[in-house]
Amino acid sequence: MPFTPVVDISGSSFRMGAASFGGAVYYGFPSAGKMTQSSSIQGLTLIVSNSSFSYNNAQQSGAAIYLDNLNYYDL
Amino acid sequence: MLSIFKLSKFAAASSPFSLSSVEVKNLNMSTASSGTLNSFSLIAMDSVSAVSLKTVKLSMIESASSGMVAQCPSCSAGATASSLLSAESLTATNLISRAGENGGLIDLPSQSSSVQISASEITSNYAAKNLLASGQGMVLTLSTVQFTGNTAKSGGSLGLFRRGTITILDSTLEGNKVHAGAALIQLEYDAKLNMTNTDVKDNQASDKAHGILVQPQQSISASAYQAPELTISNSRFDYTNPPAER
Repeated sequence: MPFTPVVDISGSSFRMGAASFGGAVYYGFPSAGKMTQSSSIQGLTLIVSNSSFSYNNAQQSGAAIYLDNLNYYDL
Repeated sequence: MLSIFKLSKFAAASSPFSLSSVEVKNLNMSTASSGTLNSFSLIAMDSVSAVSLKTVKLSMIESASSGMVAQCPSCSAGATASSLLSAESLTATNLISRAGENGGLIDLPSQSSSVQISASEITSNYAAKNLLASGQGMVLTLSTVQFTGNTAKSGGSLGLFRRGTITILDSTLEGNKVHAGAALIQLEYDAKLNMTNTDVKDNQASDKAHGILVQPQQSISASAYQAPELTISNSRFDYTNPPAER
């Protein structure tokens, strides 16, 4: 069953990781950097608006928001 | 344990215990004979109580346990309270909580704790797990709080939330470190985070997230599980110059 996340990053800016959203938000499962503006994860709500993410990176500890073990959401 | 104020059976939701303009600093909690470290708490309560702090300063104290500002080890987990602890102009700096499962500074019962902290500075403290919150169901609100330079061994330097709600308004969370887990906040399940106009800057985690970690637990059954909700607006996450890893 696919994830059905609710993610909205409207009005936010990303630097050093902007091209790969995984830089700001680390997608722990199934793989990093796959989350897009319109992607979603079942049950999880993540709404980021009018915010900025600067010099985050795709390393785990470099993520501003780390979504871990997301396979647990697929219940 | 040394507690400056001990509230025994203080049921006072309508008339809170109020404390203002108090400073405790440079307290040596080691016993002279053996060097064993004792526990310290500004306020220890044995039942759910309403406490109001204003202009309270704690600094340079090392404790063997958590809850250095407030604790209630015997509170009922099922109790309710509209506002258990409110603190305005709280200054907590250079406090060391060596052990304890819950918040190094505030260790209050699950499912009955409402903690509101405003116009306060929480700087350069250390906790064995986290500083402000842990356990299930705590409602924590930070408003215009400087939370900087703190270190936790695990659980997020600020707190770990299960079935709890954390609201952060107009605050700065900068230069905090954690040895395991997220640098600031961990959300496990059925937890809500609302962050508005807050700077999250140069925090350091050893492995996962310099800001917020959402980490569901495999042990939670599907029927009981509710995923966290995160709403972040007008905030800034900057990782330009994090403190060095230890």
